[in-house]
Amino acid sequence: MTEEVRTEFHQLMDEVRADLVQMGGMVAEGISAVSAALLAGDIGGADQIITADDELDLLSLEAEEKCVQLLALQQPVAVDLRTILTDLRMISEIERSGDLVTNIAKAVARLHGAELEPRVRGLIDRMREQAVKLTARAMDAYAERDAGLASVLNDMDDVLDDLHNEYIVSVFASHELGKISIQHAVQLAVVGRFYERIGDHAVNVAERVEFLVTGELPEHLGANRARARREQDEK
Amino acid sequence: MIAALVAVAAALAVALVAVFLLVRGRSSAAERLERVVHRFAGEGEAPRPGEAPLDHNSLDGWITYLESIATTAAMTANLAERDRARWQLAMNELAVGVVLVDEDGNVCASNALADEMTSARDAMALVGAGVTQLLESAREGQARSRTVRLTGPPPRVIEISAHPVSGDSHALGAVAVMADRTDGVRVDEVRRDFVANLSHELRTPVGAIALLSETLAGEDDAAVRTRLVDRIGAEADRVRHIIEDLLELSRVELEGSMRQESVPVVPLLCEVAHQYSEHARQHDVSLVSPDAAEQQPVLYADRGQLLRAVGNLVDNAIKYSDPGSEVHLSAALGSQDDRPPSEAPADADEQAWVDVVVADKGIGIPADETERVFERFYRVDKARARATGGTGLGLSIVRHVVMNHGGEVMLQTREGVGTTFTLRLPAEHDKASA
Repeated sequence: MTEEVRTEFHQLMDEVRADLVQMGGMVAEGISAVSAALLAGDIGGADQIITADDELDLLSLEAEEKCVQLLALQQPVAVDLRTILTDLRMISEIERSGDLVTNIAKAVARLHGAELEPRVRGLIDRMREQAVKLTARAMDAYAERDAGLASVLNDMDDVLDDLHNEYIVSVFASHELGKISIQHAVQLAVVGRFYERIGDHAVNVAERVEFLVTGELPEHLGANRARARREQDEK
Repeated sequence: MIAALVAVAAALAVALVAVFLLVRGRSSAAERLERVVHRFAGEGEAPRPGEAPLDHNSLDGWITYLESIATTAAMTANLAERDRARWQLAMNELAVGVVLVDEDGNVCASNALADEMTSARDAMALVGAGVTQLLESAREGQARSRTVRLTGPPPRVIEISAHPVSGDSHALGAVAVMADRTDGVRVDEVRRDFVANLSHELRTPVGAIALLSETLAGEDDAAVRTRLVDRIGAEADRVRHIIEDLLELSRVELEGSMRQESVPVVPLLCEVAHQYSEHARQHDVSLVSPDAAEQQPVLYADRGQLLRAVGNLVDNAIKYSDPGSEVHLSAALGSQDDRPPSEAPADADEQAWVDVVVADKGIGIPADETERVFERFYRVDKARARATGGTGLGLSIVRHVVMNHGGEVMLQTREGVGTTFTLRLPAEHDKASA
């Protein structure tokens, strides 16, 4: 590659990175906004969030196109190739998180009229806080290429999982006390699941960052075991 | 710095050529060389006045001359570096973020606030993205601005604007400014809501009184008349409470804390607990206060105001607790050592303080309302608050009392978990400075 082409190449890679950080910011803001709409029963606000997801879709398509362009025209190798492959995977992870935000927004209308108990509201707020934190830390790990930070994400996700369990219990306790209908309870349980899934996507992002930096994935351990078993069988 | 190095390197190269020329004895070339060297020195074509004219034929003369150029270049570079550092430090003092890019879009200067805002990866990353986009269109010659609203909590409103930076004829780059408008937007909101809430709070009971007395005039049944009179009395009571609280609030605001004295905190807490014991019993809430014999810690404060502030907090805690739960009152002496080093204040006066804590396990306050509950007449849940008979002024009074004493109110809350109010007040030994 000539010097000029290389610069252009890295410029485009930097653009993809900036796009991804922006997408992460959109998801973080989306989680906060949808939680506020959910707690306030604000259907209009929820509609705006559903519309805003189109922007995220557009940005993710643009970023993907840039990646394909880089792969097709520059034939990158080594760390550059790994970066672009990571970026491609990350685009879909973040885009999916955005879809989950949209799903929560759609539930706001279905939950219309439900009187949420303070305890349930408090847990929604805590899941919101933890999901935003996970998303932001995952983007930190990505932008700084920080494999150490990536491994912390797993522990943070455990906190979100615990909150999710506590939330499900309190939703159905609230139903048993006759505070909310079974339809609303099920709807709320599904919403909790969306928060929990956003955390999982953040962990996936972090694992991809670990791969980018170290070349290792958690799946490699399992894969090695499978390979060993296969060899055993052949003997 | 780079300019200085280039100048010195060039001067050295010139010196070598000079030696070569001297050996050859070609003086017309030496004169041209002298002009070139002058240009490096940035001083026109002739030696400065007072300086010995350059002796073309002596190597020593050339060396001395080049030395003086090198010294000047280093000094200039040093001055430029200090100038740049001074600008950077001044920019860091600005209350807005500033980013300057060159014509290719590379960042050539930014201040600390801008770095903080544009390096965020949570929702604030949208500010960074906005800056990048606006700078791009500004580089193409179009000034633009945008307002980014973040839900939070805490909610934030950031205004970004970008302008082209052009010289006499061509573009040199672009500059973006980002300003935090959160406080301004909030103040507007508070002002708007205050008027609406005040008129609502006063109109409702007055309207009710008018309606009830009208009904009363046309009513003959004695039992109904008694009921109507009771209702009128209750509504009049509500108006009276609001007026009393409003007067109290303006008194606290105007007076400051006038009658300061040594106040042992724990006996004061017990007094409050005693005052509200009947109220607590009605709500089936138990008040837990420390042992009344405890004399420490001591505050230097206006006892009446403090009693009122803690009373308001306890009143709220009881109203918003579930039956059967507890409200804890406590006081503790804190000092600088308890605080993380990053938060430690530099001046020694603030070393010790007293935390007065009222903690409940009640319904809590929604996260996005925590900043607003101290506003006058602000209600989180309008229906419930009016049913519990508050005036909507209690926490405003608390905040003003604490401000009068040079302290701060801290609020920790989670819906369904509970609320803890902490009044952090300077400890007694500060009275000399108070």
